[in-house]
Amino acid sequence: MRTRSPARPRVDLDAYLARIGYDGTVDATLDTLSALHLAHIANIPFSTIEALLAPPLPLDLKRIQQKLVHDRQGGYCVEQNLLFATVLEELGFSVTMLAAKVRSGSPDPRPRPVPRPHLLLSVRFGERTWLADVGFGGDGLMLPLPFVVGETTDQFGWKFRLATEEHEYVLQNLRQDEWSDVYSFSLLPQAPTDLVMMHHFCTTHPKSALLNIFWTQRAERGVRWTFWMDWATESGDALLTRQRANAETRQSRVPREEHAAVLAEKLSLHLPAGVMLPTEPRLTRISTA
Amino acid sequence: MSDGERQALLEKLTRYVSDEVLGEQDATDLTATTPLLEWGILNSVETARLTVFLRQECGVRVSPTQVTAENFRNLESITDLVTTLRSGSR
Repeated sequence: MRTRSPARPRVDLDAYLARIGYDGTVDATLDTLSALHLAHIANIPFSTIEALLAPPLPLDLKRIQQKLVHDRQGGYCVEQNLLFATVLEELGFSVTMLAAKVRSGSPDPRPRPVPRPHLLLSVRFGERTWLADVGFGGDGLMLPLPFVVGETTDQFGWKFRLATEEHEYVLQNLRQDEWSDVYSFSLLPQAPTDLVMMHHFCTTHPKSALLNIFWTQRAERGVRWTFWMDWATESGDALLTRQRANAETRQSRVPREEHAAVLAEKLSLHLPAGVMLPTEPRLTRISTA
Repeated sequence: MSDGERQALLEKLTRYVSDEVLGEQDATDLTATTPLLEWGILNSVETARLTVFLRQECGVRVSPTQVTAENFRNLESITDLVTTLRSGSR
């Protein structure tokens, strides 16, 4: 009887490629990597709003495929990049998982009070390496980034570069004409057990972004669509923004009864039939003693 | 809002940031004008948690459009925001 190694989990490639709307070549080349990266972020949204509907589950590739591919929902970095890494390996790419610390914005490198773990990937082609990241949301990468320090890369008008510090590399993006840190990382490969720790923090710690900021984002050819909850409204409105590099952000209100349709149409996220997002956040208890 | 009420609110917010945001970290230099965003004390997660605190403990709902660098610059500006929202809801 033939069995598969437990180190190479099974991924339903056909279902994945259908979900990201990709029918091009799957040779393990840089062109394929770029095309898959673009198709993934355009069709599987970065999302934390599912945590409003059900408690996050343990990290498991079968469950991640069910949620992101078959149920056509979204996910956060560990789910997204673990799925992407598995697909790429299945196609013959040489992939390494890397751990990052999110800095998002502040130029001040002092340690943040809250750990903000992030998973990204590096993909090797001979002597050259590219960073891939389909799970950051926010103002993260649109395309793979050449692993070259100091070189500015333009992705649909969004500009990125890599900087170095004593022990880490730093991904930076250009915001209002100033370079701003997105996250820092080292090249230490992450094993599946490391991901278990990351996922445990992200899904249980009261200061995890996953349990505090509820939003969904999809990026299609340079345009970032973002849907986030507006807890200030008692009726449970959401806000939808459309953002393009070097252009004004457009924003509109989404009444609660239109959430599902807007999420499906603009974010490629499909809520279970009949399910509505709550009008109050799932509050994490705050001690006031 | 009287000066006394405003001072009490400022102290409540200072206590929250000191205990719940900084926690184990040294909070001795935290003042009403400490630049919370610039120093990375308030990141997106802590800001979201703070808006929950404002809702639960100060009775004001802060919209995402009000979560701006101006409103959350320091404890003074957050106190101003709460004061404004409270007066608006009366």
